[in-house]
Amino acid sequence: MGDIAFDDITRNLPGGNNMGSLNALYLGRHKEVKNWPKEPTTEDTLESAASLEGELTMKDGKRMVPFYFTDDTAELSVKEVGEIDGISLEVTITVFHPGMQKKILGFFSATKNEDLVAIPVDGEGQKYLIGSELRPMKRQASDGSGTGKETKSRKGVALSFVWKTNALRIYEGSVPLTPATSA
Amino acid sequence: MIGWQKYFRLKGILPGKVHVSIPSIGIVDFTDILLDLDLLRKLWEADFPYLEPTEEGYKIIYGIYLDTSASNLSKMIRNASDLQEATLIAAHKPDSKIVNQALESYKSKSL
Repeated sequence: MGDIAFDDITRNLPGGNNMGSLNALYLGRHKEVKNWPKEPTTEDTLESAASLEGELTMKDGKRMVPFYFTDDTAELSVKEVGEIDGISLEVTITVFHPGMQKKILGFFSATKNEDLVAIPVDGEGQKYLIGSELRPMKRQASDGSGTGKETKSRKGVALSFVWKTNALRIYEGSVPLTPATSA
Repeated sequence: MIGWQKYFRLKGILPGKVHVSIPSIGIVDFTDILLDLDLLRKLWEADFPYLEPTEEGYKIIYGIYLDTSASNLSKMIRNASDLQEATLIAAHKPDSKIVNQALESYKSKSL
């Protein structure tokens, strides 16, 4: 693979839009993914180097699940880590789910050491794939869960996910929220 | 009422929701029998992996194997199951006066 051609980096806000936070978050088990989108085979432009090719599909009976979060509590953040000539990325998703009912507590427990994949959707509807065939997304310890100290506090579950990668890429496929079937 | 399943079928997933690849559309619920055929056509043409036209869909939406003479299209419009199908058939010859008259006639009868 050759060098990616550099190009002018100009102001690029389609429609003038550039809203923050996340609009939606979909989660799944890493081992339940059947087909993974492929990393770009030709990285001849900056755009193609940042795009995945193909669809993420799930194994029979499995699906991606939508995860509800309180507005303005979800974030996709990217931190560069490593030394000179060895820089890579740590991509983190943080969310807060209000309430402490059985279902979210079950999810909280069931995912704590699980290999995961996520597709967050940003304010402009752009999707990212967090987790790859070779390296899953993992939960990382988060301290925002509980009842809160005061009655005016908001109880709920805070989750933080991390994925270590060499590149953050855009996913342009579909997200199946209904079970896959081979029938 | 005849739903979209006459023209498209799901493959690889059970009926339910999918956040589709076209950002302006978002989530589509495939349990809804009244989904717009034009939306489904757009998805299919955007390489949506969970949908494929039925034989009837190929004929009506894409005009494959279809006699697209104005007289035949007019006849098909008269025999269409619903206005959506009639509109799709008419779209094969949007400039034809005979076809448009058949569509208008169908619309007035279906009111």
